Amino acid sequence: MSSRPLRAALVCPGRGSYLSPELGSLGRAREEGVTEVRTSLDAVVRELDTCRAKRGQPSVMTLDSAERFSPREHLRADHASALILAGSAADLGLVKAAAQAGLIEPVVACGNSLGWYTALHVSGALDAPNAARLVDTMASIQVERGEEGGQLVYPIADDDSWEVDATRSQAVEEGLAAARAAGGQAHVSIWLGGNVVLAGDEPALKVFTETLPPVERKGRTFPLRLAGHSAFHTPLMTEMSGIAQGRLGDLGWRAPEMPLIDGRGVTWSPFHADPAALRQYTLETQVLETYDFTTSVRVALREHAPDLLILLGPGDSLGGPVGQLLVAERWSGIASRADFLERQGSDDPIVASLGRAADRSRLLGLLEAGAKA
Amino acid sequence: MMAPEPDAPVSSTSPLSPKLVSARRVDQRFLDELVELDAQWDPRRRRDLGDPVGGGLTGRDALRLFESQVLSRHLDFEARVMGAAGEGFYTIGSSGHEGNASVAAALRPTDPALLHYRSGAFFLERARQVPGQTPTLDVLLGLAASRDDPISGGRHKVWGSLALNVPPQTSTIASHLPKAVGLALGIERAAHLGVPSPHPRDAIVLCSFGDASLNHATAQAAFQAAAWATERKLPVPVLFLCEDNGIGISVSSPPGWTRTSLASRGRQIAYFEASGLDLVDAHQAARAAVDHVRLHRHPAVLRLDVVRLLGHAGADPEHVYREEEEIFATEKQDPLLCSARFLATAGVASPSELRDLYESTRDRVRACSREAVRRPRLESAADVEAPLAPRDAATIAAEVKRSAESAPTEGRDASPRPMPRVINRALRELLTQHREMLVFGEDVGKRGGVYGVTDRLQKTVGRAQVFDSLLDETSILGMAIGCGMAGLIPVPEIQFLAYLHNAIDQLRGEASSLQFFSQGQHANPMVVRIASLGYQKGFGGHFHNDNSTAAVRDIPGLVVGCPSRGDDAAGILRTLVAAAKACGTVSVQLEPIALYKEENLEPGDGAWKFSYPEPGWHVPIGEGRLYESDHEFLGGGPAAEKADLTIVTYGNGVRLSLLAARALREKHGKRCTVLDLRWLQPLPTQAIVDAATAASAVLVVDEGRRAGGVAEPVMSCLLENQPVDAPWRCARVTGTDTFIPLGPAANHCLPSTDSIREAAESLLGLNDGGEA
Repeated sequence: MSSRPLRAALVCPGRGSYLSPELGSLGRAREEGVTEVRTSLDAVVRELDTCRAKRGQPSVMTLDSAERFSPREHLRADHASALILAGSAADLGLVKAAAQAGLIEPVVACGNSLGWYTALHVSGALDAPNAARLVDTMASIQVERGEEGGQLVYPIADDDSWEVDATRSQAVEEGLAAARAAGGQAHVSIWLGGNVVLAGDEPALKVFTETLPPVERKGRTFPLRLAGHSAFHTPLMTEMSGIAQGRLGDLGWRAPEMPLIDGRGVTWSPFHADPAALRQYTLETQVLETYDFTTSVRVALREHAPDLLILLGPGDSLGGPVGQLLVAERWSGIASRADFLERQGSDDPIVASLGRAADRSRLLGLLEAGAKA
Repeated sequence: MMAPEPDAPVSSTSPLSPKLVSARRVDQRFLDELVELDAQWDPRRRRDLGDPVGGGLTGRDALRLFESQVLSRHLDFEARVMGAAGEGFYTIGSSGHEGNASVAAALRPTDPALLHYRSGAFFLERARQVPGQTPTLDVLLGLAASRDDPISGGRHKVWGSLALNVPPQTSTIASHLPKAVGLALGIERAAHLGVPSPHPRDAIVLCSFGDASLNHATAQAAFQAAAWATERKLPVPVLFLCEDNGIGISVSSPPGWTRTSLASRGRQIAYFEASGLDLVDAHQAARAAVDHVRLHRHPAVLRLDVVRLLGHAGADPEHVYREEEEIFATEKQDPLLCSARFLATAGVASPSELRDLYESTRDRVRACSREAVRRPRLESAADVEAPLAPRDAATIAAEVKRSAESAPTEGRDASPRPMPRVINRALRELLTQHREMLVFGEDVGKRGGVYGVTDRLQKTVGRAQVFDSLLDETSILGMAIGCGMAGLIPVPEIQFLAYLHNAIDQLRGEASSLQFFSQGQHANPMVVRIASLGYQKGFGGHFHNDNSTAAVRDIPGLVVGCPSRGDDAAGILRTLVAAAKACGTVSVQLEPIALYKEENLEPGDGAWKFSYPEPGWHVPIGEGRLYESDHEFLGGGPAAEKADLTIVTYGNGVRLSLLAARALREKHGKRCTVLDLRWLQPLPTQAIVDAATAASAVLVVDEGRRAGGVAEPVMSCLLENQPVDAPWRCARVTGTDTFIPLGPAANHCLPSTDSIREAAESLLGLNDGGEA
């Protein structure tokens, strides 16, 4: 029996993936001894730092090497976005090393929200300098303008089974209707597996908070307001989109090198993607319309059938949503949370989350074994 | 971290199953061609993907079409790999027909498309136009007959999708063409009436089919109907796509036959043709045809010259009826070769890029196939049957109530009327309550129906809802299916049951199967009224006295009502219209012609006229009507504690049985009950069991035939439910196994009051008229 590299889907995380456990993770990645990691990380950090220096901001590695995690600093849109792109870029290096070693074959890329920008880079549609400029510009516009509306997250799946709970989905529908009836601007911002991110103006957010039945999870109460987040993926961002288009008119776009799936579930083909359309989608469409991460992963699964979903770091924020999506799809025989956990504990896990120490060590171990062999 | 390589793909070097031989040859020929093209490739030829390449396409458009073609091809290959491994169950493919992708590109995804089984590339190209679609796994799940197949749930491999506006059907015998015409007319009618439709106002209908099925009567009926409607100045926005590969299984079409036939109706149906091997030419012609239909709302036909590769299906021994040279010559015309040559020559893509696209598509199809074959299949008959007729009594009752409240019932005249007047009033009431309801059929408009059942309806409700159709039952039912799909509630009339038989596949193979093959996602609700059964005094012979109830009872999922009196007819109609609206139900009401004219139980008593039922009253599906032994029709008086006999019957049999039961009481003092089934499918089985339990004997009276008539399932029901220790005494009186003859001879073949009474006497041991 011959063997072949694992078909891998690359999944890029969004905001909120660089939290206190991730402090120092960029520095640690540089010390892992994988050349591709350093190269990939340094390429985006160089450009990010150039942009940041113009504003007199500390370098990305300085932020990463701070003594302690400061939510006020590290969660600021511009700092957080830079740290996340850098973390994902470091992991892209690890993916490249694994592909060169014949362990995996990246066959498709997607991302969640901010992770879309990373996915553009991961898939090759934007090189490191262009990706860094995109991320830096989008975040700094947000900082300049201050918060415009906000986002909150609400679980729609059952905590134990991971099945979507019809009652909670219904509550979300009713919450949206109530917020609109109250004159608020209320939208679904992101479909995120077993969670939904709702967005709107302050009146709408108030109605959401008052009407959605509270859900306790790990000591936190949902709906949970996402601090410092604007109402991304809604028409409230129309002005912001216009500014971004003005500032990023010269960004260098090209077709991706692998299929890239966006927040509608549309595939951008390496053979015929239109760079101008990709620009339009990125700077306008996805800024103003719901980002359906659920559908993008569904399309990645059902059109590309990856053997492995590689969740790029930093952190493991997409581990839960992706697990929930696998259950919803009954993918590869996984029909419950228990099935998923069992599969993850086997020799043949379906998800490799590079922000998790165990998964990362496993991949590094395989690379090392390959290098010695 | 390496995956084991499972069974061999088409391109591997392992020994091949016969199903794979031609697939491998076609695959290799394509790869060889790319090598040749590579040798000639000049990078300076490359042009911007945004540049036009002809036919209204840019290079990028052409490359996208090619990608859909390639995906279609690899799905065909994979179907054979799966079949050879015993994991796939359908190998009829689209290879050679991939030019139909160009037609999809010329349409909008909101244009409903009724697809031929070789229209795979069309389907995939359309899926590319709608975000979030996953056709690769979806199609493979269909091939694997998996329960997870999103359209049919493992019931058949069909091209179908709600999001893509592709209603599924099997399409093998052109039986989907009449409903395409119906859908085109229905879209227009819905817009005219201002009722909601799932299709945009300017949508056009696409209907693809093979050249061999053009010869089917249904195809010809559809063309005739489209042309007839066009002559009558009705808008018929339908584009017929004939995928002409020149051969039907093993029989070749005479040269030029398809073109001659299709082009012959140019006055009403505009004719276009193009090479399906040339994606630019095909797109250009498709665009012209689509524009013609969309702009003028007139029908058109587009004939695409294509080839058939890989034989008719995986098991087709093509070499038996085709010379090897002919097969090879056809394979050299592979549209994928033509597309690749064009793309490389035009500088749109390099041969190595085309190979990458081709091979990466193969890889992902293979990977998706590994997932598809591990998915569950249907596990029981109950699983299979679940979507056959998705309806429930509570939903239907609620809809009846809602409709009753939506429009006030006219006048409170409760005086008893003969059946046609009551049905007429029910139709008028329902047409008023449901603006989307249509009554049509031959003679139903101006003339008001052969028996006057639709008298003055057109005048009172309007021509938009009540109109005459052409004289062709296939087209009438096709119209009903299409109108149902367009969001309307069609209530067509078939003039006589005998006229149904030449068109019955529209009910059997199409209308009744749509919910089954789409798990209820698509529906074509309708209520077909059919004047039927024997005992006609005015109009004799088998055509006008057809009692073949089995013809409709045998259709899975079809609901069949059969009223014996006017109020029940109105109640059944209310139920069926509500079921159509709320549950998408397809149903038939068999109306006994002889009872249209019957006003009496005994001569001159006027007892067989009934009052119009109260608003909201209806007859739930599968609920019979029991005439207790104290019923006035049975002589009144106190009820018997246990009846001596129950007679189970329907239609004309009800009145005859009531008369026979009266005679038994008068002559022998025997007390009977009579159960009117009212529903022939599903039967009121509990009512049958209850009536039998409450009587000492059961007589089944069936005016249908002895073989295949309703008495058979009723007797089966009795046999299966009788107490083991005290079996029921049962007998039946039925029509005989013949066509009904002309004149008084008909009476020899049908139950009569006397024959029912005699059978009862015999069953009760009342021989020679004396007490047992």
